[in-house]
Amino acid sequence: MTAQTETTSPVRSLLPRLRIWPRAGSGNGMTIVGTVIVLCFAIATIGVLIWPPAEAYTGNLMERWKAPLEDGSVLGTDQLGRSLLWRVAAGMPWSLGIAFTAAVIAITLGTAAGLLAAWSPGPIRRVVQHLVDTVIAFPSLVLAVTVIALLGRGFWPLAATLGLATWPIAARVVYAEAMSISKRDYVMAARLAGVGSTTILITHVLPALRPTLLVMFAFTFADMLIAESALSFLGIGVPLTAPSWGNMLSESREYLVEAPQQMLVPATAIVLAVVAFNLIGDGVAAKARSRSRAVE
Amino acid sequence: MADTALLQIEDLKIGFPARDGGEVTIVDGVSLSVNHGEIVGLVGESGSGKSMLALASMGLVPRPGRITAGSIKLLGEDTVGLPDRRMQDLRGGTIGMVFQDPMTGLNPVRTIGSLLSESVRRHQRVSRDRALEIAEAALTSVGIPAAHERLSVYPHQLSGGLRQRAMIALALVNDPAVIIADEPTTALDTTIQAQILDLLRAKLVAAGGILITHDLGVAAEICDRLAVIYHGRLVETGPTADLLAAPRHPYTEGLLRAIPRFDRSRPRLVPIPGQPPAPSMDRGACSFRPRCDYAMDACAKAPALTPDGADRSVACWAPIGAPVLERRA
Repeated sequence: MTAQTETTSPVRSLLPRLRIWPRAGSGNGMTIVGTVIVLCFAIATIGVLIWPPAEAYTGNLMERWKAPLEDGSVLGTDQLGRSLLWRVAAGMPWSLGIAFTAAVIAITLGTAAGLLAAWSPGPIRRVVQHLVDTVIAFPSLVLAVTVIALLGRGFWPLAATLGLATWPIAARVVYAEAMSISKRDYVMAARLAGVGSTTILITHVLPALRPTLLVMFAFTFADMLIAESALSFLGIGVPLTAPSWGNMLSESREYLVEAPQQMLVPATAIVLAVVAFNLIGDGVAAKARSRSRAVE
Repeated sequence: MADTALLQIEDLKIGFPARDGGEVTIVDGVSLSVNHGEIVGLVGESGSGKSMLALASMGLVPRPGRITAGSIKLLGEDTVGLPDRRMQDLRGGTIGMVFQDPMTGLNPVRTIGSLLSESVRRHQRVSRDRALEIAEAALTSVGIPAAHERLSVYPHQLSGGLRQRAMIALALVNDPAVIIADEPTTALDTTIQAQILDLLRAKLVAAGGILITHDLGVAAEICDRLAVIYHGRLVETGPTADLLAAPRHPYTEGLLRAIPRFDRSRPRLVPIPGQPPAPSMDRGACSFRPRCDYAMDACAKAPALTPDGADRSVACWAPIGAPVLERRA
């Protein structure tokens, strides 16, 4: 334990609570790569929200289907001569924003339901469990089509649909984890000290769930990004004019031969984001495992 | 003080539902009282029901077990069937429990100070700062040096002995009237054990306490009275010195003979033959009969705990030392 304190770098000692940050040289280089990519995406998204790029929506037909790096265009242009770089950037608030919102909805609802089931007497627990099973059994594509038909395309209908279709998976994980935490000795010790169950839930169980939630969030985010793209590709996602990555893929389908860059650019963006979040998820999971080993 | 016991357990029975639909009795008609300034030792093997008795006293019989009969009076108030809220007030406030394993009993992601002040603020209406002061005083009182600095330390930064001291502080931080210590030294090194026992004796005597242990040596060290539990029943009770000098129940004698001694040139350990009974074993006969050297026909019926001389009682048809001729037949 002392050895660890001694090797702590001055920068890291400024972030004493941020233990998820990987230690240099601990074989967690991929986590750093993932984190850097995600940070770049996040900064770009905020930038695009503040200064919406007009270049993403207006093009010059004379300049259509430019290859990457041809005539000063960075990533090439699409069938209307719009810059693919700016379009993929303008799509970030849509694609990443929807994935983020959906993941937050899924994890929040799932955590609440999982904890409720773990901490309630038999009847309530069974109700929650049956609800979870029912939602999981329901085909999410049908759910998505229904919601879009009722509410129309858009950011919130899509984010809500994805979140509502995914929360039961988070609920199952949280339930199992909370059950195992509730059997730990320190939870018993808190009970013996007269601490009430709700307080124990908030002050002992929830903090112990943190690594699990982080890992789950990273993987859920990646899943939601793919799901958003898939639904948009099918035309039941965001509005057809929005440059979401799924919509871009959908448009590119007709020009695959003439302009493969039109497909490759958004596809690369999707793969990059998904891989980055998986790297982070894997890294945090590995770290949580090694830490719980150290505690035991 | 003598007539109003701090903790009075009477004819307590704890049962768990069995697979066949019936009920397995884990604790069967145990009566035990703790007076002010008294340390009662509860001695028994694993599975004898001693920890269950402790949990029952805290109102925490694990589900699906339940108290099927008897009463537990804490300062005269019967706690059996008390609403959860009220029991939570008592737990950690009026009755405290020191936990077995200091390695896992402290939340690894919480500081010592936050764990202690959580319990303080649960039972006393004080400010956050005042709670931390009380916590610091509790740490000092259990002999933790540099208590103020230790408030902001995480459990893994403490040694095993200090952790057990912190656990004791956690149980004692609200000055409970009754303290139960469940195998408090089992997980510690021998040298640390002695220190912790010294500390516990001082703390338990200041209130009233039960020390639960399987180690007669530990019990002899600090207890005023002993109660030996076997298969969920008390088989012998009495003042520590008398009971150890002249055990009356064959099981107590067996326990004593199974302790290694270093003051004899050729130590001879005599283990008790056989295995401790499963909780589900039939209670019609004396539970110790299959392992008893002195078993006789009368043992087919379970003996009751009956008074046996000054301040003692024993549950045996033919207690050791009694003038019963056929005993050794």
